[in-house]
Amino acid sequence: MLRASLIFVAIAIAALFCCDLQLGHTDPWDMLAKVGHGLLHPDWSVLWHDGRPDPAILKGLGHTLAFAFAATALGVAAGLLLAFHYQRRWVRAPLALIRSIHELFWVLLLGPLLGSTSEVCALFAIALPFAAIFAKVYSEILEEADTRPLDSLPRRPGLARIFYVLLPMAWNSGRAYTAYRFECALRASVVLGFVGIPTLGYQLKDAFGDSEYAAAAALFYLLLALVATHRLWIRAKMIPLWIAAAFLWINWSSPLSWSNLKHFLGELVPLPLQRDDWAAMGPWLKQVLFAEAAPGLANALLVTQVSLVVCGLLVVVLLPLALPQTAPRPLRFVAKSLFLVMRCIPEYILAFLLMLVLGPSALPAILTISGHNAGLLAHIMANASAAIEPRVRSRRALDRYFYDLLPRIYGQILAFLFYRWETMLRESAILGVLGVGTIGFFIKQNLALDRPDRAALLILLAGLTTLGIDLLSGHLRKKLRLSSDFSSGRCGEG
Amino acid sequence: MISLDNLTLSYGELPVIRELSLSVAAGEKVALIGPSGAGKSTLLRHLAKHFPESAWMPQDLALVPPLSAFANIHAARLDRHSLLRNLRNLVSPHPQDLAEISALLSSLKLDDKIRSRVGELSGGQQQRVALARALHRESPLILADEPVSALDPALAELCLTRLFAAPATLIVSLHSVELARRHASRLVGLRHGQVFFDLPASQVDDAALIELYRPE
Repeated sequence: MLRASLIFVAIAIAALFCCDLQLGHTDPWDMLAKVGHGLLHPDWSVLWHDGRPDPAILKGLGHTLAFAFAATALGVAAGLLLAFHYQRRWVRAPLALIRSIHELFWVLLLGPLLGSTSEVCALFAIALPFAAIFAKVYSEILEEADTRPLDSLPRRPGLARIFYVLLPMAWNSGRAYTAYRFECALRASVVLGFVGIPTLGYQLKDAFGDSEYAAAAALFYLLLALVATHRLWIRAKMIPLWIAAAFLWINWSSPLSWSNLKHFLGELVPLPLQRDDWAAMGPWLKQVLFAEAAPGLANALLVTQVSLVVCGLLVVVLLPLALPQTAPRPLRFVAKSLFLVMRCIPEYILAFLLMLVLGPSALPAILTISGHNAGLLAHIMANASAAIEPRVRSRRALDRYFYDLLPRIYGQILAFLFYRWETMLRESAILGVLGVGTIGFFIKQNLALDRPDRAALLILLAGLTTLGIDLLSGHLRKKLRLSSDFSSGRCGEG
Repeated sequence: MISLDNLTLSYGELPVIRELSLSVAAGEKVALIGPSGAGKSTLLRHLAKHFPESAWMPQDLALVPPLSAFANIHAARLDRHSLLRNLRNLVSPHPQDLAEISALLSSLKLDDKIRSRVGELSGGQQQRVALARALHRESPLILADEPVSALDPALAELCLTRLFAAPATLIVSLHSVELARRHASRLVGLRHGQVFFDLPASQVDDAALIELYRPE
């Protein structure tokens, strides 16, 4: 395990030399002061209108919640059905591709078909990849479920056996994972605001765009509170009500029609082929593959490799601050609050903020991806390791950490990082939309220039690369004998 | 009903059951006894696999902890009811099924736990739920591996009486020779994966037992 880690560190150091880490602004401190002043003095009045909650904000809040609940519900239903057929290759392969495409790309891709700012588009942009992820994870959970009771039951009917053994045995893992996924859906829903869907993210982006940092800060804290406290206001018994309300809230109108679908699919075909101009196909491919896909994917991979290692280092350094074996209670509280904030801020919004200050380079992308994932992993590991009995007695806390605790949990940390590898690639691809030179940049540019054919090929290539990382990660996990039965690590999936 | 001829079973290289031959007629009440590692569990698991319609109570119980005692026991008869009734029973038990299972549990002194989640029951209570599930199956063949190991003597006596009264062929492994002699009609002593003796319960004498359990 140590050798594998060192190889990854070496790759990351090499990647660091190839990355564009320049600061974009001439004076990042000035920008930092402005944003920082806003964050310290949030303008709460933006949330109110004539002494009542602002109707626009309420509507944004409603949309944010509605998309999260409805998309999770659809994803769970579809994912559960598909999970029982996940072993079949013709089910698994398309699902792998669907889940490797980020929600934001789905909005951009489905926009022309379902209406680029329509609510149906937003709903399916989240529900599609979520269904594919649920299918994968649920099938894993069902596979790991203890099925010994089946031997004591009648062999038929099969469906009843599912309800009497498989589902109850898988219930706890499935529920924990679904709850975590809902949190992700909430974040995704906010982020969709940045591409025009009327969720809270939309107002947030507007406020930033108008340089109203104090107002933006208020909105930012509102959504942070929304994500951080969601376990308090969602009661298990209320979930059906929330879902029903979400389906009622959503405006189902969309320009979807048969001719629209045909037109949409036609536009995804490379332009030279649409015009039957085969000679132009060569230059078209050359442009897309070499001038766009190659640098875009290379940059995304560089960012990913650096982020992976920085994330691991952050966790190793931050974790002792949150463990009862090594830190006093007040320090633990501070560290755990930090982890909570780190994981609650949607990656896309954190990157947006950092890019305001640092300019569009690989640096904010790396900070975002490693920071968010480190918060997630440190939080999980702190909870999972709190009960470990110390075996080494030393008065120095760090001795106990490095000689006892860390060696015992290092395998889990590594397993989690490998689990998150493909997700990090998905994230670094999407951050291109904000201006980093990863493949998302070229996808957005092509869509802005009305070249959906090129964008579609780039999205496909990004998806296939993510898929490749997924396979490589599975292979390495197996080779290093890192447990696949790592239920808390699964909560990092996607 | 059952006849094994020269059966050999191994864990990897190590043979656990060696050239074992055994036949059991319908309605016989057989107890398997013998020292730890003699192959009792392996033999029972083998039989359970080959007679999938038997009622099988493994040593680890194999219950479904998140479900109620009622649902766990009802699961033994999933094949006799419609899917609709089975699903309904997960949410709100059908009165007829409830009455039947309640009577069964009361014969095992556990009717007060019928609606409790099995995961919240004690080891002895869980063992009785598993026993009830095996009885509820109403199969002509019941296979049970140490069915009363977690019960106090009085409860063990009660539960074995109930088990051996079932109108079925029984093959039950037991740690306690006393219980085996009292309840079974035929005792099969296993040692080193082979039949050491196979006698009517009344003919098993102390000398044979001392030989059976003699340390190496």
